[in-house]
Amino acid sequence: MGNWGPPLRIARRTTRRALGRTLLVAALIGVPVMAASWIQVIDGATNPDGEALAGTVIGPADARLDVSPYKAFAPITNPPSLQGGDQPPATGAEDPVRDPATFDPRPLLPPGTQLARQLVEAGTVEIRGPQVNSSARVTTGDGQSPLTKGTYRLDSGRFPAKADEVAVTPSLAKYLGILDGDQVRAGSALVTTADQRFTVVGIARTWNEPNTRMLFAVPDAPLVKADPRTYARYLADLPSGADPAQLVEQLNSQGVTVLPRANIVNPPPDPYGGGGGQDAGGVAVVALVIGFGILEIVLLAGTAFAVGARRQTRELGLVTAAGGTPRDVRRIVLAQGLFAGIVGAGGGIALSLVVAFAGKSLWERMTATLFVSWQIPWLNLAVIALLGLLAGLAAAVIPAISAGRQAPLSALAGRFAVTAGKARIRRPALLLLAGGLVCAILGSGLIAAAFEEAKRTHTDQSYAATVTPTGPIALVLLGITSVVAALIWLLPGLIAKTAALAGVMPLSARLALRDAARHRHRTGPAAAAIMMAVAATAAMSFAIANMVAADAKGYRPNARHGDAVLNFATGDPNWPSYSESTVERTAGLLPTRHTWELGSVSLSTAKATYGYLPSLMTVAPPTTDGAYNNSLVVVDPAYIARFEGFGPKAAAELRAGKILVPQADQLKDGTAAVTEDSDPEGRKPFRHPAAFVGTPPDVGPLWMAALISKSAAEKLGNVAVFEAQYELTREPNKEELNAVVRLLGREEALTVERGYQSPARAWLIGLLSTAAVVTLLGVAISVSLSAAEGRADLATLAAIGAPPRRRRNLAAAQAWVLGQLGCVLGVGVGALYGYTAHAAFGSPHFAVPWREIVGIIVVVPLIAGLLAWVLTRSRLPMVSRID
Amino acid sequence: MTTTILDIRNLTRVHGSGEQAVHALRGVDLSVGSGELVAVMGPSGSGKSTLLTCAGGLDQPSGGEVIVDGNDLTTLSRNAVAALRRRRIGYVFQDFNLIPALTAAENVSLPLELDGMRARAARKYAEAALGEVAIPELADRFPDDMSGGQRQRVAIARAIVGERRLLLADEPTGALDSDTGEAVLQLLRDRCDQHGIAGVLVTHDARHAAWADRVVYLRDGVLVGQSGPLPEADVLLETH
Repeated sequence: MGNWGPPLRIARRTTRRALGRTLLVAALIGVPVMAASWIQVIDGATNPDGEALAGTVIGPADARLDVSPYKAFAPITNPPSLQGGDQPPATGAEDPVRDPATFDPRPLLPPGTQLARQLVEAGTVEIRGPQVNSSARVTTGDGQSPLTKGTYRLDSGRFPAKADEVAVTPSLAKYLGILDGDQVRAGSALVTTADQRFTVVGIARTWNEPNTRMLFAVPDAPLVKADPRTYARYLADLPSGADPAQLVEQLNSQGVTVLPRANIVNPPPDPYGGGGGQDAGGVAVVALVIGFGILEIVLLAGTAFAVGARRQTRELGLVTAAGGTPRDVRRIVLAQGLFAGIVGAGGGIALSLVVAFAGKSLWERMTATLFVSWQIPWLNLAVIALLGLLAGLAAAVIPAISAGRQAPLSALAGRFAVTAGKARIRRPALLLLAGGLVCAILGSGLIAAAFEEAKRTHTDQSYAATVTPTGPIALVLLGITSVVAALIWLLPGLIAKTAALAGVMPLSARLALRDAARHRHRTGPAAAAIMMAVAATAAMSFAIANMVAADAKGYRPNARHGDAVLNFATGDPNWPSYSESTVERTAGLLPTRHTWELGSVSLSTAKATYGYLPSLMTVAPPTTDGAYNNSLVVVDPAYIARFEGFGPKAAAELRAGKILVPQADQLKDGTAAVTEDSDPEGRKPFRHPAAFVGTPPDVGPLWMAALISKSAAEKLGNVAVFEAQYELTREPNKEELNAVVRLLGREEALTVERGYQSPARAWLIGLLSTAAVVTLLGVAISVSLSAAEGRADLATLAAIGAPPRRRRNLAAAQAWVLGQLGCVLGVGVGALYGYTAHAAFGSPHFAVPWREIVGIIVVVPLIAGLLAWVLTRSRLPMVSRID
Repeated sequence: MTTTILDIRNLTRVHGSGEQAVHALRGVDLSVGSGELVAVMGPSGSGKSTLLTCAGGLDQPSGGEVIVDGNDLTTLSRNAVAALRRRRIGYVFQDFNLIPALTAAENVSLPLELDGMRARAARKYAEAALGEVAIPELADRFPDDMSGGQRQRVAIARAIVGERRLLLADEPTGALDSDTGEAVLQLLRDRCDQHGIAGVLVTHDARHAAWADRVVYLRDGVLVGQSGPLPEADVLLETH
């Protein structure tokens, strides 16, 4: 075991003496620790568990009751929990026997039980806005009861007490324009489209959806017509001594479910075994990401330690001269890692708490989530801190071993010997690299094959969900890890080999290359750290590019590019309904060339069920996924004629009165079978003249649809227009679109087809910026340390007449060399990941994000060089001969 | 009767190999007994410092034997040599060589603490050693806050702390003014006289060599001669 006292003392004091370097290493460890801890604190505060969760779900109540319309439920098989599904009615009790809203459960409960209606969503209501109408969700309950306290957040005012009062969410209040600062302006009212008027008495929010346009009302407010099948939910405060767990069975037999508070605070085990390591691939990926993140920290901090140990060479030599063993020397360097880890981890945790507390309001505003309680996950934070500490120690391991190996005399002379053998490209590392590549490519092939197989046997897009190639994923992860390990192993040798190019370089680049090779103990880990940072960004760029490619491939336009679509068939009673006048007036507001109407056709004898009139479909032969008939869409032949290739032939057949079937095998003797959608009476299909001219265009309502002209359709039954499409002469301007919104009363009713829109790139740019910062940080660390180490060389250069700018040029060249090497290798690793994963993303081909890649390979090293040039002092500082 | 503390036999040290080989020492023999202070003189590159580093186990000889207090350093492991340096050998360098992160007392007690002694007990020894070199009041001062002479005294205190048998001093006065240098040499002499320590002093200054019992001369790695004690230092000072 030996004596740790002197090493710890020397390390502690050296840590203080070299404060800049210590803080740099501490920051390298502390920033990721802070980020990880902050995420944990935010998660704990926004997704509480235990008592805090119970408080948000049932306030201070003892239990939650759900009164059903059924007389009794089937016997309970699993203990009640928040995640539990609906209980099925008991055999013979399947028919509703009561209206839960009016049923009083008190007689079923122990005497003295207090009840309150919980705040639950009851439906939506159309409200009048300053310009256009909008819908808002309605939540009703006894908000003024002490039992519901804590289940919502009241920002200002009060909860409604009467049927003509409402509280609204901040977003709804903002929409209505009734806010005066954070308060509701006195006398503000909310008016529904049915001209009901409600006084707004407060601003409140639910925990889950604080930014939704929502209003809160008492249960009997005349806002939403209650569905008699909807359960009524109560919060119950039981008299002392009553155990809600004992009421579960008894009330279950009365058609009332009970969720005791204890089952929220300490949830019973999931009977389906959820979260039990089913997604091994996901866990492996997360572990890989965390592992690579720690490795990056270790490499960056390791660079700083390597230089620190080198600068301490003489001091460590003195320890040896005083009788210290190599173990003592190793302990001194390791203890410095320990201290840096303690400062970094401790500081990171403390900062994360400060940032979380101080940034609460900003976070809530930006993310639309609320802090429910300050539930600090101390255990998780302790694990993160421990990882940070271990990262600090791990960063010091290699420098410590190197320092321990120094010969006492060399150390005393301040010479840090580097063995020539380290410059070799090691064969085992090459084998590891090759093996890793083989594993990754093989695993990728197996994943792609699994997805191809799933695609072959499934006709819809859900095939991806059926594929779980855990083995190939593990193979890919093993391959990538091996490649990264091999590259880190190879890097010092690679840097040394790169120095062979120095001879043909200009002076600064030549010096930079040779300096990098000479100090490869430091430039190796620095370039590796840059490689890791860049690999993460490049991998992300590849992943996003392939996801976007998959999305773009699966995108189906609603109309021809540039056309506008007015949809009528949303099923929303408050949506604009079809009328010729609506279609015409909309056309008048837009730069319209032609208007086309698309519709469905129903038999004149069709009967509406639940407000839905069955339309006609052509019968398709069954596939492996089952039988899917094709909708019969009524179109104007002139509209279809616009689609090149398919259009002219199709238009001719449509004009001939035929149905165009989407699949050739639907055609038999020049006819196709037509039936009613979900025919309740099981009538037999009838046949109609048909033709097949090809697969219909991959455009919204036409995709895999059978087509019929309006005149032919009207012979079959009634045509209902579900959509109008406008061929425009140009892109409509904002004023024209606003005029349509005012006409239709809904912002979303009209859309203009602009093709596939790539998702917002803001977060991608953010990611790239973060990676660029990490990359530049890595370069800056290495270059600044290198500059400090190379002071003697620079002094020699100055002595023989090199101008001051040479120092800047040298620093810039060093930054560029390291950045370039790290970026190229990092992009290689990222591309390997992107290639192996592109099949899993459903991408039709291996999409390469050229812009990002070029940015990383060219721009990042140049920026690194430029920064180094700008930030390097051109004058040499005076140094004392003896420290 | 004096006991041989340092016994160097046929010591050779070659740097490099083949045509580029540099022979720093070529078959040097030297014995130093307890209480004896031997000065090693010679021109630059003669092998003085190499002789000292081999004697202190800081460098590995290419041939021959280096026996310190009965232990042949050439046959010992690195850890065993380190243990000898902690317990038996004290080293004083020209440029003080104190660890800047440690106070004077901590620098002095370092070999003892590295040897497993508790910090408090080691500090008592350190304070005693600092007392012997007449700077007890500097115990808690860091090297950066001391003068050159004070630092060298601390270095000597570190070299004599505990039960040292061999004191190796490589140009210990090189960075000091002459008065301070004389005081430092007086300390070394006293230590040898009063505690029976064997001392080897590398110097190129005859006045400093005059403090020794014996002077050996090195040239091109070969011991070319030795003399008895030179005239007393004060005599030398008066005559020069």
